[in-house]
Amino acid sequence: MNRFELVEEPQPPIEVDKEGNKIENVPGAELTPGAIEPEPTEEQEPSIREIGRERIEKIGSFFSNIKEGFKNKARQAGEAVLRAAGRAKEAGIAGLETAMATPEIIGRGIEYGVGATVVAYEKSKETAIAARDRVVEAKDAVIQKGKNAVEQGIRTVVDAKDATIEFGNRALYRAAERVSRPFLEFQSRRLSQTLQYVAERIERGEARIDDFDQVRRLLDHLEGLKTV
Amino acid sequence: MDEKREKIRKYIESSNIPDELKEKELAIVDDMSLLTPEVEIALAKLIGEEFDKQIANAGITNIPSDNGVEEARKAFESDSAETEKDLESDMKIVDDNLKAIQETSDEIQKVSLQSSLNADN
Repeated sequence: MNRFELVEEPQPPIEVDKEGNKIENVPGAELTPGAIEPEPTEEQEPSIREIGRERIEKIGSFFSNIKEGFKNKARQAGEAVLRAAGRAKEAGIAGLETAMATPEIIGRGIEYGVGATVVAYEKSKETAIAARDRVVEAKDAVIQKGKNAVEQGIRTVVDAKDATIEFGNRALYRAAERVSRPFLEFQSRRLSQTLQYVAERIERGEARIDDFDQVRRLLDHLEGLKTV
Repeated sequence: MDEKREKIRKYIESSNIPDELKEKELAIVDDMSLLTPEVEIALAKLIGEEFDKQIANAGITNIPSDNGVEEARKAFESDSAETEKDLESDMKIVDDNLKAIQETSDEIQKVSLQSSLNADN
């Protein structure tokens, strides 16, 4: 049984012609030559609830794709670093313990508890951009100097990989945070306005609700979530 | 689990909501594939769906929206569109870095392999 019951069934809107005359719903009238044809009804626009839901679902799938791509690329880069370090060790090039001691860090992807402040994000972005320049320099050095540049090269790629993953994590966290606040605000306003609309209908005797408090509690619950 | 997610968990546990909804919310909080702000989004979405379901069950539909809701929707849409663009640009930096790291690592591997071969000869 529904928790809400309408006291009166809602009546369909009265159709009128261009002059404002009521169009009678005569059976078979649509087949009568010369009968007034009602204006074709426009397609109903999606409600604000549907617009909001579609938008948040689209963003959700955008985030999922970005996260998946990030995780895969970070793993591939980490594996490449590990392979390089392993090969250099086999070649007897010393001083590779740093790289070899951190396979779990190399394989690490998204850090869920990263937390984020704007300062930390900006700083990690600068660090990541600078790290890339050093990686490019290291590559040139390896090409030019051969094995003499390998040890430094490995250190550079390990540092750059960590800095890049750190920045990727912070960028993702920050982006999710920037979406969550306005979405929560939209959702709570929408629910609040809906509740007010329903309350007005109850007051006018147009609707009856068995457990209005339960619906109100959902709104309170959402409002509380915003303040956590 | 970060501090904020812990707080959200405690908040849900102490909330006066139906058990079934509470269970679903806790499952979202415990889903570690989601970042904490994504947890908040998913919870707000779930609460909204539950709310809408109860209203719709009563046969109350076509609820008009007022200016406040419309403005909040516009703000959400524009903020999220801008965020998408910024995130794409940030992830381009990440992708470029990872690509450079991979290329340099491949170069190191080549040189190391060559060094091993030379030593064998």
